[in-house]
Amino acid sequence: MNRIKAISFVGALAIICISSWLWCHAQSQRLEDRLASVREVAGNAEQVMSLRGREQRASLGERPKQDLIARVNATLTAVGIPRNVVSGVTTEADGSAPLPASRPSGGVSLPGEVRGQAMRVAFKGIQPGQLGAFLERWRETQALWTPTSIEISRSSAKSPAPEVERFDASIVLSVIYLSPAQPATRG
Amino acid sequence: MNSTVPIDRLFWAIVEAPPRGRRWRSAEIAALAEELIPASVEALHIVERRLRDGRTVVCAIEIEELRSRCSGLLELIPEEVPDLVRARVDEPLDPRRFDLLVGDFTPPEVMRAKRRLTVAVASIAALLTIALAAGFVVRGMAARRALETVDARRSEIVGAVIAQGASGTQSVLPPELHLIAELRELSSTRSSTLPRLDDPSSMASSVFGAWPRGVNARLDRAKVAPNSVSLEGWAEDSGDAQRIADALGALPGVRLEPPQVRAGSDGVTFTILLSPSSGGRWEVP
Repeated sequence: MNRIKAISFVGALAIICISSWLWCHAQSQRLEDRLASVREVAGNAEQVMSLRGREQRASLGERPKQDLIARVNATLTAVGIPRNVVSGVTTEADGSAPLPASRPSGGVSLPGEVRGQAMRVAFKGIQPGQLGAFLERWRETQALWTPTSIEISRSSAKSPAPEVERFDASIVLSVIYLSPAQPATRG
Repeated sequence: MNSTVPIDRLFWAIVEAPPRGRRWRSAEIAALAEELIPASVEALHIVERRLRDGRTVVCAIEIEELRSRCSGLLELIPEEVPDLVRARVDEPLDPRRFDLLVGDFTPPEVMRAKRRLTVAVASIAALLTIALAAGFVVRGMAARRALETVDARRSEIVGAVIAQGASGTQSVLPPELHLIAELRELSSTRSSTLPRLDDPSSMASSVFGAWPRGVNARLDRAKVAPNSVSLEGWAEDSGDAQRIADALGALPGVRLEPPQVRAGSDGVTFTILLSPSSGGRWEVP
């Protein structure tokens, strides 16, 4: 009987000891996990901050035409050129943007296929200085859309001020975008 | 308060070691001793001591005999261990190992002392356990408090980063998922491994900036591409056209193709072609 009592007593003490240790251990483990998670979040935050400071090189998915029109209009407004100089925005064939030879290096996984999209913006009766200002402003503010071709020709339209040179211009603006990877089809 | 029992009042036996190294139980010892001791085991008080070789030395006394001798004693031991027993064991046997006042015959003073000792040991063990458990609990609670601080810090970090990049639209994602989604998007769209598109607008600016002053000429058409510039225009004479070509050909990183000059009715028309001298892309001045 005494032995049973002693065993029960020791058992009770052991249960108290073990259960408190287990609880403490569980809390410490939770803290460790949470600290690891905070370290990960801090790392992600640091990466986000660093990446935000970098130039955007590609778009996620194809850009809508309206996006480009809005950007062109904003830039024209910023440099004080009337919006009516834009005579049209046309889509060049998707995927036809001139991708340079420097393709993504091996081992780097991107979430999709790298493709190019190009749109042609036509200006009518624009002055060379205005075109220069537009391009300069565009380069400063619209890193995503790159002018890949610029064509100008003397404007045939009658100018209200004949001494001012006016040109018709056509700028191809291109963007690299990541197209979602297509699932393999059965042949 | 100690006394001895003459050896002629005691029964002695040696029980062989049990199989597979286990210990004999008291009941088993009694049963085995019954075969060796010429007395009824129910009438005996048995004390056994295990030897190093696994055998057990049994010392027994008749209960009535023990009752008559134990009064007021704290210890009652055999006078000596018989030679017969000594001769059969390989270790010295101290008669004190065979104190007969054990079990039902334990003296009340010894019982009380044992009980006090037991209570003391149990109390110390309980106190130590409580102290240990309290330590664990305190540590665990500190971890929980730290957990709250860590959670607050994490929310603070995420909130600050999201607020800094807020574009005005409210994300439907929880803040941490929003951060991960933004990281994925930024990693994809701002990766330094993405190809770069060649921007010829700097080259266009250089070309138009290098147009020589004082020439009687006009530009009619121009096309600036990542790997070529073509200019068409009119000049009063071929000398002006050549001066334009020379000025543009002097730009760094530019290769001038021989200009094409055609005579017209009121001057000349010209076509000037420029290409990167490195053969690839423009070296932006």
